[in-house]
Amino acid sequence: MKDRNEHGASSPALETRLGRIHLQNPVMPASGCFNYGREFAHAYDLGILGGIVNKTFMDLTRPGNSPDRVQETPEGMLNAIGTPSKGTEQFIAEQLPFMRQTGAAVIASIGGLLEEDFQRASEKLDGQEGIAAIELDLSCPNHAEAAPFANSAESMFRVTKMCREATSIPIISKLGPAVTDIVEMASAAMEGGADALCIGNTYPAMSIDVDEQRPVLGFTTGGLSGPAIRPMVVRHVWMVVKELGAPVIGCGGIENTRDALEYLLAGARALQVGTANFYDPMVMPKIIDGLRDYLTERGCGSVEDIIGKAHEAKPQLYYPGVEAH
Amino acid sequence: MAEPNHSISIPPNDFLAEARWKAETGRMVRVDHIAEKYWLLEVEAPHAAKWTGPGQFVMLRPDRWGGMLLPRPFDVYRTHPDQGTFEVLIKIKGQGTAELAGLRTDDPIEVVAPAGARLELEGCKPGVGFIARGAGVTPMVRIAQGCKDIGLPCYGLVSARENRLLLGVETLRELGAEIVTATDEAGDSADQPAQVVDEWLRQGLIGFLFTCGSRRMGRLVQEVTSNNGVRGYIFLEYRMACGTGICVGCAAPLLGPDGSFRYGLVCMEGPAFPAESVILDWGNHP
Repeated sequence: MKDRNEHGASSPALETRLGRIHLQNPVMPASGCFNYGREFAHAYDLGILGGIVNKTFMDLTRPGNSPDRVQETPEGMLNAIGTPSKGTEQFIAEQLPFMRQTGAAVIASIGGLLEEDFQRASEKLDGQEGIAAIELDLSCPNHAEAAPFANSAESMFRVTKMCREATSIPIISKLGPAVTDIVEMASAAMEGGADALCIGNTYPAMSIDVDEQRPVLGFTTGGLSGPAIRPMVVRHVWMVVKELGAPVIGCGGIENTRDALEYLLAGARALQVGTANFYDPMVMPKIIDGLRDYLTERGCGSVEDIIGKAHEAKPQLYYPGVEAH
Repeated sequence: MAEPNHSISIPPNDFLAEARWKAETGRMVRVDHIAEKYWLLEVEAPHAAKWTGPGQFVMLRPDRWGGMLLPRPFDVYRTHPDQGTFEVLIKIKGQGTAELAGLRTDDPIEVVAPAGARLELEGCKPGVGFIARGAGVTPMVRIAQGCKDIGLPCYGLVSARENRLLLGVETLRELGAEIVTATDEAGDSADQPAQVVDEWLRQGLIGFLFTCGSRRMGRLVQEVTSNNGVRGYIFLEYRMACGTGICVGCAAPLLGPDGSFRYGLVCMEGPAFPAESVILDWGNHP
């Protein structure tokens, strides 16, 4: 395909790699923020996306949480959807074929109440054609039955290893934010055999209706997403890339090209767009175009030129013009 | 008589691609104060105006949104496809609706529509009836408009606390609907809905009965439609983020034909649900 800009130069390359995972560009939906993509297939060609990530399913059937499931908060939103699921067989029979024919790299997001749920889903997905990676949703805060696995380094390690041994498909471990040391969790997942990390998930949070004097969400607590959490997630990405150099997908509050660039400059090799899909349905195509424009303006041949670039900046340790003591 | 298993509700995934939602930047044409907390907005957005049918809703989000992110869902009131505009009737409940009512003519507004399942009124012979209270009259205006388009008789009862809060009555009559009213201040809002519906049934005027805006009216529709050969639909409202089916937030608790429990998304299956599937006593929802 001829893809040239106004100066006749080639358009910058957006391809990115995370270990064994190869994506045509860094932009994909965050799990749970795009369902399976069907609802958007008429609006734009889903094949332009770097990947397509399904709403997490579990290897079991469950209805999801009681209403209300969502609530707007300042520059963010709370959700406690609770992972409605129809099981792995239903995913393979009804959703996977649709995701595959979009042309985008398929990333199958799986969850579980028990560690074995992840293992069983991984075993069943192993050998299925056209799955670029399995993303382990270890960090959902909205299951009554279980604390997020991502809160414990031992669980991160164990579940990632179980799935690593259950399938040859590349594994992405999705970290949670409510931890003391994100680098320790990232390190545990990499030691467990993860090909890449997704950082991160919603922040555990809640909101109370002062008129009704009760929690707003049917599940009582939920997870906070949207621009409100972006600076905290950017820091997590920065720390993990700096300490481990691990391949990271940045996920948290991205709503435009500049937000996407922040993550890339912090060292993320790919991006997931979540909440913004709810209020700006064309946000992902806009970001893909925006990244290309930014790279062209900067004279970059490839997105690789800017990944982690902010780490090269000299730390500002003093105020210019003020003598150090 | 309506056939018992005939569904008039068409979910978005079954639409032709051109009839599905589109994100467009619209323009405020008119912002009129109606009464108390009620405002009528007219928005220019050609795709929404052309395709938002009976039973469907629109997602609205002004450009400047005071630190908020999510669009707000509104049942469409009336559409003017020739002028490329649609109307919504809104009740100020919080910051979002207050900001919408504060918009001026020519302000830009982001529109995603149509959302929700479309009601195929062609199947509603010999006519449709509705009972609605307060802002619940909103979707009935689009239904009356749809009835007028295909020459189907439409009968309605509009209820409110006070006479001055009876909404949409003139518009409904303009659209050819035969309307009776009831108010708390006149003392006839408790009994009249049942009497009016009985009369429609006795005369064999309606095959379908819709309601919105009152739990009591929802119960009445469930009772009437369970043993009179008419089909009922109840409009439901649950908090939603996207309106397009991807957030899975607007789950309504429902009963299946075998009495089993499930959730259905208001933005994909609804907002109008078959009366027999609706659980009205869920938490503190209307």
